[in-house]
Amino acid sequence: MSKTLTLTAPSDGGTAPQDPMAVLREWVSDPEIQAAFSRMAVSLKEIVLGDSAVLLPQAQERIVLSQWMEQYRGKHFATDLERLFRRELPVLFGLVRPGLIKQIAFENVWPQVEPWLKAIFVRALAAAWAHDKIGDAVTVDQPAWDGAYWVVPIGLPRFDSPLGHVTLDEEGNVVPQESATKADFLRTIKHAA
Amino acid sequence: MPLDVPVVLQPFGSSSCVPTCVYAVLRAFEADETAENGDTEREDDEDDEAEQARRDEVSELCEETELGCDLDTVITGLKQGGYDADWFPSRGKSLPDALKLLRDSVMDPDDPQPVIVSLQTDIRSADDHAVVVRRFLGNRNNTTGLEPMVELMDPDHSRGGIRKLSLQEFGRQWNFAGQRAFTVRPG
Repeated sequence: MSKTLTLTAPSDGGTAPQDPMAVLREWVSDPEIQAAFSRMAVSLKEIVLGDSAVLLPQAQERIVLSQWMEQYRGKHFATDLERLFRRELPVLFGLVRPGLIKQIAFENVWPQVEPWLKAIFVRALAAAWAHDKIGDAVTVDQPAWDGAYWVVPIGLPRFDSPLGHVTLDEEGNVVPQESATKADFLRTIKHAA
Repeated sequence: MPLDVPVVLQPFGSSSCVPTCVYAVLRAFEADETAENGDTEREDDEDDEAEQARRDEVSELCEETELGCDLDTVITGLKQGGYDADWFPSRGKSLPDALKLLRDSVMDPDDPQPVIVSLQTDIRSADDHAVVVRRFLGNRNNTTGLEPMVELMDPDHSRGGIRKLSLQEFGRQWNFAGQRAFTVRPG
């Protein structure tokens, strides 16, 4: 880290005191600090994958993925983020009050983890639906957000391209009328043969 | 006493493990009934052809295609074939509640019901595999320090047979597959 952090008013009395938040914002935008946030995001993803608390959302009626992720973030991320922050940015960690550390970490690290985690959940939700409605031998590719819906390609191992797709809304609920049916898949296979 | 679900491996070339699990559960009920009727041993002269015919019948009822089996069709097909099949009410429940339901069903002292569940080893894999839950071992509140386990009948050829998973790992894998499960018994 090349910058010098000053979070207190200068002692010469001749200049206006610096706004600590402004200094902090400038610090946070530093490429080295941003690189540290990226490393924290990578570590956090590894933690998530090994975390027994990561569970697929379940709901009697409608799944609300954003709420599920918010709860998970609140319950399980705070401690990990603080630990990673201390490891990657020890100087900043020592200078900033704990509440602010959490805020900085969430603002800078969580946006790098959230879309990744959401895509994992969406794919798993699409897979559960496809295995119920289409068949348990289908393959499920990575979801793509088309601006309004999640589109998850579904295929079979012997085909290079997907045979159809499952569509989910932003909160992870399958939209059946926008998704391929088993009959569609069987027709496509027959046609390909 | 839970039912003694036998080891049945899925045939080579089959793209679905579900019909094999169904067949294994039906065999467990039959063996239990035979024992209740006082027969000391199963008639082992049921030849391979007859067994294969029964497996084919189950596979047909499950409407296995190249896409594998979808559970909606499996349950409908089994019902139409005269079996008592239904979804297990675990979906949409919290994982602890779903696991309790599962334990209560499999370990029911008066009317044990093995449950066929879908597992997914990793939340990123999206690969589905059906197994039969045979029994729960150990107690959540015991003081022995032993981890509670779930005993499964896995029809997969490479890793198949009777295997055990810790309750926590089983719960994760089941949850990743959407906590999907169903039951079947002779009608």
